[in-house]
Amino acid sequence: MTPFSHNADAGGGEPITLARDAMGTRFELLIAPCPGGLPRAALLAAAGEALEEIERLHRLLSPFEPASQVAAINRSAGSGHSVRVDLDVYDLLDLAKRVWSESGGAFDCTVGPLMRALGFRGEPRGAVPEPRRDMAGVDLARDPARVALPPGVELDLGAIAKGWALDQSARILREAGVSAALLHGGTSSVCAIGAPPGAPAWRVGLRVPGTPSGGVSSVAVLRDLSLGVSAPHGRHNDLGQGHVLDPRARASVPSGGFAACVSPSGALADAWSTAALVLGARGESAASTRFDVTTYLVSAVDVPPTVCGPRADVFVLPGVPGAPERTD
Amino acid sequence: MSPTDRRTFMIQSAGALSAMAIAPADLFAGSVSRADVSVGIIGAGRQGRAIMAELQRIEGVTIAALCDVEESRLNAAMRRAEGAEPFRDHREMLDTRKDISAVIVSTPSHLHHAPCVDALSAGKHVYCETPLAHTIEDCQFIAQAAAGSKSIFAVGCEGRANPVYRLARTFFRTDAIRDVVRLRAQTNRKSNWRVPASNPASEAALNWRLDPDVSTGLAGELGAAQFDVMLWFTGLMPERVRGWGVNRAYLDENRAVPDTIGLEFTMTGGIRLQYEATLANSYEGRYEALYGVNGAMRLAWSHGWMFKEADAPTQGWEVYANRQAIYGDEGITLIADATKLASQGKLKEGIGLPFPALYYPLADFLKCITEGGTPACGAADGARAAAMGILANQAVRLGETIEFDAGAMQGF
Repeated sequence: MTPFSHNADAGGGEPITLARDAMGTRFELLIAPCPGGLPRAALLAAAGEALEEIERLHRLLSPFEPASQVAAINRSAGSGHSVRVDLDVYDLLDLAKRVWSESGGAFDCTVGPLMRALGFRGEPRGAVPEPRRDMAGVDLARDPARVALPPGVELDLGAIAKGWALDQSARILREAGVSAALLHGGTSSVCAIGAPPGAPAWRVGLRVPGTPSGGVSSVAVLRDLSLGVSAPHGRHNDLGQGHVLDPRARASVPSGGFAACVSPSGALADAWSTAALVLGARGESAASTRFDVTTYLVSAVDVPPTVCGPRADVFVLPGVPGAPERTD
Repeated sequence: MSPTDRRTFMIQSAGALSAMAIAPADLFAGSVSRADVSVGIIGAGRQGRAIMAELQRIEGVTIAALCDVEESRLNAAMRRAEGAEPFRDHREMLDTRKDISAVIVSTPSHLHHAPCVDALSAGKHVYCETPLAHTIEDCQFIAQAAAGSKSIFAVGCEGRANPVYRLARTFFRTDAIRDVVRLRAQTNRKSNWRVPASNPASEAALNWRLDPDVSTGLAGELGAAQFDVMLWFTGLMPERVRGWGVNRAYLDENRAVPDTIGLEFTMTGGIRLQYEATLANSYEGRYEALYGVNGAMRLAWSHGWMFKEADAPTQGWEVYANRQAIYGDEGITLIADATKLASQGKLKEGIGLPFPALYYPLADFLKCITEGGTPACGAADGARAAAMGILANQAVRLGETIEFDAGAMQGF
């Protein structure tokens, strides 16, 4: 064996960047070697472990993988029987249900059939499913952990799972001694560990609606925080409607909006960015009152952005020192 | 990258042959509805935690105890196992928790011997991860201990319990393939075998796979379960193996265990089994392929396909098979109960097993405990597969051809 010393070869060097495809998108991580920190081989080992955790969670949570636990839960819907799950799945569903409840149903992991009916799953549009279903029907129990669904309900954790996966990966990196890293899933879910050497924080550019292509208009300044971004643009059905749905109205949210949420929890940042977009201005206060979530919201084109929450200074908006120069 | 999926493979394998997908009649074949079994897990690393997650899905199973000498691994597992009692010593666990009836051994491969033998001595049923051991002597010792015990001893060679593989083997044993001419298998993955150690004292213990003194390398750690598939399907035995190995992905670490290997086994009758594995590239993932004069079979854990030669005799069942356009050719989708599945809307791209590959040998083990029977892969079969991996690893390390002792292989 050729063991390496934890003190040898430490510090500096090129950043480590690795990527994996999971959860229908691309996850990337960047680890910045720090002077006096872990040697490169240890950083690579930590990075590999973090990415394998993301792949593991994909296999566990994807409704499109027949062998996943979420697929098993969905298959059991309406059977009258609950399905035993491991604690990872239970904890995530428990969190998702709390956000659903606190957001008044604006965030809902059971919109899959509605997504399909509105033509966002590659199938022709169809009738909106009746009767209306939501997360109220998701029955969770502990000891042992189990989940039951009523007929017609399907789970799709896409609006929270990326942030959750980043949380778990970040925990692995931190436990391994990584002190400076940036992870993202599909660029809409970001997790920052520490700060790059010589800088106070990671700076993540935000492309808010109206920003010229290739440019950013605002910056999220992150140190041991996560960011979730949600916007209706990017994917549309054949009617041009955006893919972010208001589960209560059973329709797409209007175009032009944008929400970015920052929280110590990637899962919360991810989930609340969707809820905030659906709720509009009302969602900001709901998020910050009940959770450690700060929301940057553009509720519509030509409406000035607002920032609400305990960490308002993480967002650097146009016209504020530190904001990027406009490219137009 | 996930193992080769059906869609990817169909595109990559365009040709003149008729392709037949293999799926069992009952997608839930091999599952267990309930098993009232109290389980202790010895070895709480990544594999131990994966096993625990599968066990937690099964009604009636209680994870009563977790054991690992490494605190970080034990803590990571305990976070996911409410109610389990932690232990640092497996003997203490066996002495203390008399309520445990089944023990999972998922320690590093070179540390299987003591917990397997001690658990058997304590009257526990044992499931041991593959490879069974890291030396031929340990394989023999564990196999003998299992043979002399009344307890169930199962080895986690996943193929034998996998419903796709079980169905495929029934076809293999007909004239659908006939007269094996060559065998091939691979595991390609993008993976860093080094795991992070939170303190230097744990480095050697956690990164045992990279220690050539105890590791069986890619041949043993990845290959053994696949070699078992070949032994189980063909009944052939290895006579000799030659191999090569290089380090290309982690050059700056100066690793002594190669990250890329190639093997050629000469099996009974001169049939060649070629095997390749790498940690540097995930192209085409993990599969086994068996070639005969009437057709070929490719098995990729959750999916399987059969490719029939144009001049192979018709066996009758093809008439009833579902036909499907595959990359410009009309292939035959052979899915048992296809009509029923189609009526349920389940006969479509992406159809796969409802549980991960790891679930099936565990379900089989629990079924044997609760309902009786012998495990799909017992100690002798597990020992033969491990021996292939151990000697293949020697061939890679020494760059020499290694001869198998036919008597020893048969005698496990």
